[in-house]
Amino acid sequence: MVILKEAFKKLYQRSRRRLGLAVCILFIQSASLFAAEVLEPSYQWGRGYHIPSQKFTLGGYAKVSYSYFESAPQELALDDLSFLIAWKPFTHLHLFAELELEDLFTLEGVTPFDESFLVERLYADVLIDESFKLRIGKFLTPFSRWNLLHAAPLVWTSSRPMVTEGFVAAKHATGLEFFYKTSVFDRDLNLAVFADDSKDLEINESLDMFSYAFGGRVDYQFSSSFNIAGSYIAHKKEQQTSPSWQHTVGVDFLWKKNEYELQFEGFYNSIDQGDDRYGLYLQAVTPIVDKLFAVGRYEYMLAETELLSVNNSIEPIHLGIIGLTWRPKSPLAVKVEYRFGQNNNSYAPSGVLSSVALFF
Amino acid sequence: MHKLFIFQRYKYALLVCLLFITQISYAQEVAVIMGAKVNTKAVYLSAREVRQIFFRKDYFTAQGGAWIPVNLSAANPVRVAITQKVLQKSVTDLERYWSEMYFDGISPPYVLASEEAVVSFVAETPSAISYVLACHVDSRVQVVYRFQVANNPALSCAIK
Repeated sequence: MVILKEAFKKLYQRSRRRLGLAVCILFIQSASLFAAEVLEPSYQWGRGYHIPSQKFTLGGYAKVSYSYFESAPQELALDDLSFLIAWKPFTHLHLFAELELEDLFTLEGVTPFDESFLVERLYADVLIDESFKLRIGKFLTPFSRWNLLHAAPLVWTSSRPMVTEGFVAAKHATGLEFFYKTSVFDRDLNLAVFADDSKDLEINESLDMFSYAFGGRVDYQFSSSFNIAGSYIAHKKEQQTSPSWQHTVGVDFLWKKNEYELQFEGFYNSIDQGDDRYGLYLQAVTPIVDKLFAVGRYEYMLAETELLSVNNSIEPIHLGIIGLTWRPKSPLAVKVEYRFGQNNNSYAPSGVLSSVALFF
Repeated sequence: MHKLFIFQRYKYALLVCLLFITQISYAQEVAVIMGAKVNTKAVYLSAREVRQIFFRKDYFTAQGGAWIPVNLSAANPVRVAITQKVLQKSVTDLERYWSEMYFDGISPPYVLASEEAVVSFVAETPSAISYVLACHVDSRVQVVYRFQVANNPALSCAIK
């Protein structure tokens, strides 16, 4: 399999010029398909720079955060600088990339480019017909509602819930994902199934990535204000001390009406040779005054108190978060929160977290 | 004397009927349109189909082309009407929806400045779809869905 990965790298290096030429031809080709239109390229804050004739969009988001934890030094950082690139060269082919510079500037200094640069997502969508879509490449694991919409300007808190941090199900998968959408009782029903082979295909290896995985997610828009989903993943992580297959099921829902929100996620994780783990969070959002919201979240996880270990004894971890989020404009979110808990020092230490996040 | 009595008796019912007729005569109709020349087949859509197209959840026309939905500017009263009646989302919910879509590389519909610009664009562009007041529909476009909105002085046929 190492040979296969090396072959991929060599093929990529050899074919870079050819790839560049092919991209240029596709760009010209897609322009001629759209020549009848009169729409001008334009930039809109929070929606990126869009070239209608090429069906090309370049945008992104950024997050600056300041954290003060009780048991750790304070942190100030440009956490995320992500570029979103979308291009539809053909009617049935959509290409998408999210390239990220993570922790580029911190109080310790500037992180070298090659250490901070990450390919968060890189995939091609083949639209087979109105109902079926095939995704090939690196994508967000379709397990957690939070994970699928984790961009800092979209979420309500500066911190991620523990259960979505990738300790159980990795945040990304590399391989194939197959989508099916239909309607049941005039409401949207979406199904996604995926197969991951990160061990052979992922070039940027990380500690919490899958080695191999497969699974799926189904979500249903029960009413205009209530969406419910269920997920399943079977995976193997060879970086862990006990690299056996794990099976995880998850359920989540989102209820929102008149700017009030209630979001829940829970998972149950079973390891072939180890203790079962489970966790959940429940988050509530309520408007206070115009554009200012109060946020509260309770989290529970039964897991090893040391990060990424499987053989330690498992303990219950409790976490509470109270905070405020101000959204003066749609692409901008200013957040401050206080986090406290029990047995939480390794996963999510107590302290104050704040951030400013925006789409550009 | 007898006639006066009958008038007195039914004057409130008459008043209600008059009010009702006046309301109907002032109700405006909004037409969802596609090009007539570039889409030779007659097309009829449901409210749900229009919603799915403008949310960019439906990709393809019956002819296999990619839908090109076109919006009027956010403050335009015709757009406000379709947002409330067909898309059934508040402005805040819609903004949040497009932020979520943007994160997945999906852009909201293009925006044109006037109903005249919309009719011209839709007439010339296969698979384009938009909306105007029904009184602004001409032979260059075909109506694929229509809905009524309550009387609103801002929805004027005099403004194109």
